[in-house]
Amino acid sequence: MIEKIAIVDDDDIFQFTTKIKIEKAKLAKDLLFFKDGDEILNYINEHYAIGLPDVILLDINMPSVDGWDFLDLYKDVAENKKAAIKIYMISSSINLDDVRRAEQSQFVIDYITKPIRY
Amino acid sequence: MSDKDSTDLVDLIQGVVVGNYEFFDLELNLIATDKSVIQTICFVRGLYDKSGRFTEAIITFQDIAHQVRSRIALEQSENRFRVIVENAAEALLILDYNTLRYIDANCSAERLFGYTKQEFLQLGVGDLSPQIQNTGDQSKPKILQFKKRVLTGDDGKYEWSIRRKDGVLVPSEIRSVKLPFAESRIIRFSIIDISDRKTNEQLLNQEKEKLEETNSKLLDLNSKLENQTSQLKEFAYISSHNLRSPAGNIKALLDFYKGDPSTENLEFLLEKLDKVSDDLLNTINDLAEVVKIKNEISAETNSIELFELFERAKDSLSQTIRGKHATIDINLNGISKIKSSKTYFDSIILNLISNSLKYSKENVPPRVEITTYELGQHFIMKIKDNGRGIDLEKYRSKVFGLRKTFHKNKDARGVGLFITKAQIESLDGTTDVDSKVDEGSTFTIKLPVEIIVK
Repeated sequence: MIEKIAIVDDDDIFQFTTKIKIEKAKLAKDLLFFKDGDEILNYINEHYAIGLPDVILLDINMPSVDGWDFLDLYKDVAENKKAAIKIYMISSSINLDDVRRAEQSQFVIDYITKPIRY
Repeated sequence: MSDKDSTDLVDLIQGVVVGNYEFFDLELNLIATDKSVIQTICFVRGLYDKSGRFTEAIITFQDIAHQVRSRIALEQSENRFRVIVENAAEALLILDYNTLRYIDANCSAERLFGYTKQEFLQLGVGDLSPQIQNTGDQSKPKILQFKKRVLTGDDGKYEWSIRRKDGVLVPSEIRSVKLPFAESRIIRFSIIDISDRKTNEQLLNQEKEKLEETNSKLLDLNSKLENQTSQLKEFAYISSHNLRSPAGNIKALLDFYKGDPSTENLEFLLEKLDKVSDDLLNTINDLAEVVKIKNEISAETNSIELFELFERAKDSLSQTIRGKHATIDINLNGISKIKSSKTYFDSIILNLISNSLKYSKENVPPRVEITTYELGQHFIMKIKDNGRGIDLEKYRSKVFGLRKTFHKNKDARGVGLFITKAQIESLDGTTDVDSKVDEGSTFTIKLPVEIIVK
């Protein structure tokens, strides 16, 4: 079981349905919710000494700092603070440009399209 | 000498003797003892006494064989040149530049102009040209100009329209040269009919124009295609993100309910489905609006009083303006009226001003400055505010996107600028933004200058 999963998505229905799925599958001990890239970055900056999430489920389309912006900003964090979080991009987009862009990021483990099936 | 020469000589001497004349000369062929013929001129001069009676005559013979040979050679040479000139392909005309009359012409000139040699001699400068050339120049002054140039030693070569005897105009190329005689007072014109060349040039030009037209059409089409491709990509992106997202949510919610179909969960499901369907409808309506704008080939055109346009926007936003103590300054720089779509302009201005008011800095009264002016081929409208600004390094690509917001305002839907951009583009305009965080934003709209009513 994973210690801590962070869901970064401004869509509360996605947050809710994903939370149910993770709980049912007993995937994680702890779940964190963030509305955009800015919020999770703040959290990482404040908690990197105490304990970071093991996995981030990252949406693309969010107000303010979106998924791509987060990946750009996370680069600094990963380098300076030796953070090594497994990031999964989760988006409604089936656009190939998005899929390729995610594959090219060194931090993204996989690209998953919504809705998540199991 | 021959009998005939001998008789002639005796007859002529008779005249001298009787005193009809005092001297004469005569060409005589003398026959030498070796039977060879010596060509001579025989000069005879009579001498008379005081009473006028003939006393004696002095007769001299001069051998002229040499002169005769030269004369014949000269005649032959002149004939040769005459033949060459007469049969030259180009028409040749000789002008006496003191009298400004033609003094000679060759056969080609007769053929080209339709005048005989005798007729040419009656003609002067200007008689072989129409009054006005294709270039719009008066012929005669132009010819005199050419003449002046030729006399200073310039070889003139120019295109010229000539007029034939039957009045037909023929495009020609004329070369004129002052003939290099010691006491030269003549100019030689050589004239070549270039009708064929002109026709070919015309055909070539027509082809060139057609090609250029086709090329510009292709370029136009290409830019339209590029534009449509980028719009298609934009719609593909929107459908991928904005339409799939609520659809995915419906699926996820139904999965959740199927996994635990309790009454409590049904109520929860219905409540959420209500929200998702609203979301979906809004997105579809926004898209439909944009598709409508992009498909309207040309929006209806009205005469728009700019002052009234901004007044209408201010009226609609009066509550916010009062509430935030906002000021709106307008500087039209003398442009009072434009011809464009009133509906679109109302929407564009309202959206931009309301954005400026919405994203103002806390505790700073919003100040919006609107400026219009003409710049080259464009009508420019700038809307500048002192608001929160946009971090363009992060958000430049998103400013005009659908469902893109970069301020955490609750009422930010991220639709306005997307529609505004589509409307401006449908009016053949462009839009751009310049902004600094905490200093404010300036939106610039560029439209074709033709929309200004003067």
